[in-house]
Amino acid sequence: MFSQHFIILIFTLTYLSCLSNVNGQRLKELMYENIDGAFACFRRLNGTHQFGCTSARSGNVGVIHIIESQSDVDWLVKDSLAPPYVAVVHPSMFTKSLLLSLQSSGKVNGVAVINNGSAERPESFSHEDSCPNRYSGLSLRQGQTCGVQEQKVWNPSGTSILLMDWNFPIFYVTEQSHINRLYDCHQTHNVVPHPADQLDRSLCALELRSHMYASVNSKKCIQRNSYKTLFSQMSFCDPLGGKNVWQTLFPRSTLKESSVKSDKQVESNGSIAVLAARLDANSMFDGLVPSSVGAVTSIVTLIATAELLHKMIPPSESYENNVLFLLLSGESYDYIGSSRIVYDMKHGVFPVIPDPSVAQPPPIGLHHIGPFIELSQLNKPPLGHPLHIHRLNASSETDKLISYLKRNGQYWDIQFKDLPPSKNLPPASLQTFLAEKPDIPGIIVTEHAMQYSNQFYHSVLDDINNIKFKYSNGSRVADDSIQLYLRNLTNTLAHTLYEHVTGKPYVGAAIADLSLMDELLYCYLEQSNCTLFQSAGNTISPAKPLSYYVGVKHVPGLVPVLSGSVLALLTGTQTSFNETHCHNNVSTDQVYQYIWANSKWNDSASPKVCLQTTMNFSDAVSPAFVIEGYNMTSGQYSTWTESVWPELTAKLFVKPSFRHELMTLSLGVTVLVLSFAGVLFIKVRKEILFSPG
Amino acid sequence: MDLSKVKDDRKLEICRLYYKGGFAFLPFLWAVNFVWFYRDAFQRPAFEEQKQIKRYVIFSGIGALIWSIALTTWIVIFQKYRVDWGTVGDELTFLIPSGSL
Repeated sequence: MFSQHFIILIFTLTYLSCLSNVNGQRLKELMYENIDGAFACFRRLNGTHQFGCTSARSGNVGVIHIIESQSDVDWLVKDSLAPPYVAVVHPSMFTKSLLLSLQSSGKVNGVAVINNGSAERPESFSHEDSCPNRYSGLSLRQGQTCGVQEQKVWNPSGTSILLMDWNFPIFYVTEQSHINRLYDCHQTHNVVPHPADQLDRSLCALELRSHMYASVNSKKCIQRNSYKTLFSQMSFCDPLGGKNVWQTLFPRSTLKESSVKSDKQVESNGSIAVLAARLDANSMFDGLVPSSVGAVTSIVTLIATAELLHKMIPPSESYENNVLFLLLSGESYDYIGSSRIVYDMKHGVFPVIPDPSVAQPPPIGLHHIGPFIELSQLNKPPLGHPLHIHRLNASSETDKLISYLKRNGQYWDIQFKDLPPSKNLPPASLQTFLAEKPDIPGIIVTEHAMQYSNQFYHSVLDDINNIKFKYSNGSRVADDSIQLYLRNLTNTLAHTLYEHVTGKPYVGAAIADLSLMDELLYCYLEQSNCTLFQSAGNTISPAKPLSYYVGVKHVPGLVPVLSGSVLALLTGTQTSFNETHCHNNVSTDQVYQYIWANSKWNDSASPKVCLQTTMNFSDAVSPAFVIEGYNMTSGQYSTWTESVWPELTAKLFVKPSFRHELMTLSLGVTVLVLSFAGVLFIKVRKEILFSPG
Repeated sequence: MDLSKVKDDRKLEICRLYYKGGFAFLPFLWAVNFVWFYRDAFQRPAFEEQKQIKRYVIFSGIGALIWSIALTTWIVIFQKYRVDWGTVGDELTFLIPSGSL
């Protein structure tokens, strides 16, 4: 009788425990609240060091403490008694000195930066070095110039937080609902009159997970990538890189009888003008790298200039001189894209590896490069202020180039001021070219003079508000808008390049399309699934602003692909090929690429069309990862890698007090001991308990 | 296997098998051999196979001891100096700890 009861009891208990398993998932959800869409700081490495943030393998947990003033910092560092903490800070408080004091206090396990976008922007917010790319470019040849011998630094607001190794995770939370929850939870649980009161109560806490696999430096982690164990091969880090976009105004081919208009097999030295801009930028947080001044203004000006030049020069005309448009990737990380192009040019394999059996663009060498204009850190200067021109050497070619620019600029109300030639050039891709061949007649066009006027260089705040862009969407564009200014600059640049190509000033009527400029800025800054990008055949990008981080080399970045296809759309020649034939045969023709566009720009009703273009991509992977046995500590080429991580998550929950945790543990231990005793008891009396009948 | 139900001649066979097996770089076999047959070798009243079992148990014990000393020494040295050895240390590591040296 007793045994039957006992069996029923066991069944009931098993059933109940099954029930609690079903509810287990919901219980976990009740305990934790995911902070979705938080952006995390991650680890990056170069040949000698590691930078960025990491959490412990299972995440870092800390009690929330909101920092709004210096007194909150003092409380946290000196008075607080319930460590570890997670400091929740506003951008205006997020400074290097704060982070250093938090790190040295030993009480802080993580930082969450909150910004809902509506709060007042801090005066400056740049975590990049005060001398970006300090050790690369021209510094390799002539020593560092930025910041030495009373030279001013380019990025005075740069805090270098990005270039330090933090031993706690840092997250960036932008959603208002999450910020409210953080505040509510903190207010309900954590606000106490005396620090000691935090000891015996449950506290609101954050769990931040951003564990990074890589460590030490790129050399170490790349070595570790190659180790194979019996069962698995683990990846620790990936080289940074992507694709450069390049295009020539006129097609160039090794094959005379091809459809190319003139014989450009033997190009004279200095015949190819270059218009260059960088495609990438940087910030502390993964997936959130806007770059209005840092990249977008230059990219759109370059694309619009290419479009206008194609309009200005009728298809029937052909000239000896050519123009090469370059959009370079990875420039924020010691000039990855440009150093690869220079490396390839030196080895005669830019833009493609020569193959006599194929019609292809002949190699471009450094000696072919004539006037080189780089667009960098462009913005609309304050009324009456000029754009600035930087150059390394004074030469007749640069003088000529500047005089063209000034003359054409007058007509379009764009003023230029050429600064005295100086070894201290602003960070720019041109530096890589000059380091190899100092007599390239190159200039860098920037809005700033000797210091960035952009206070948010390489940060999450270099966003659409930083250039005061307002999308006109077909209606009239305001006279003082950034669109109009860049349109005028485009006209100036196109006219200047026209003079290089044809040797005479432009007398036609073609001008840059203001609505195109409006749309380009909108696409790059606000919605990457805009009409223009869709016309160019893009179906992959989501309805949100683009992120300009270069990414890792084996994952194709969105920005180069979109930029390339837009260049092709705006400058390509219409062909009669259908979709299946809309591609080139790589084994016979590498001169042109064919792009299947959804519609023509400005005419979304037009049918799909196959466009022939000279636009193409080239690898933007640092020579350091190409050269066999490259010495990663030599500093000659970029060695940047990005760590691999399993997850980036932030969770909010109420953490029991230490006493509570202790009680739970001892209760568990008691139950364990009791259950052992129970089993022993049953085992000893098994004959009596389980006897039949 | 319940050793108490095995006959003594079979015990000797098992003990010898384990002893020989241990030479194939299997120190755990020696350790198990030592523990399993300790009682038969030293604590039971004398029986025919006891002398041989005793020999195997003693040698197994010594073997296991030497192995454990050697392994312990190597593990301590490896854990202490793995990082200093750099590349060599990494190459000797089966599971590289993520995110650290």
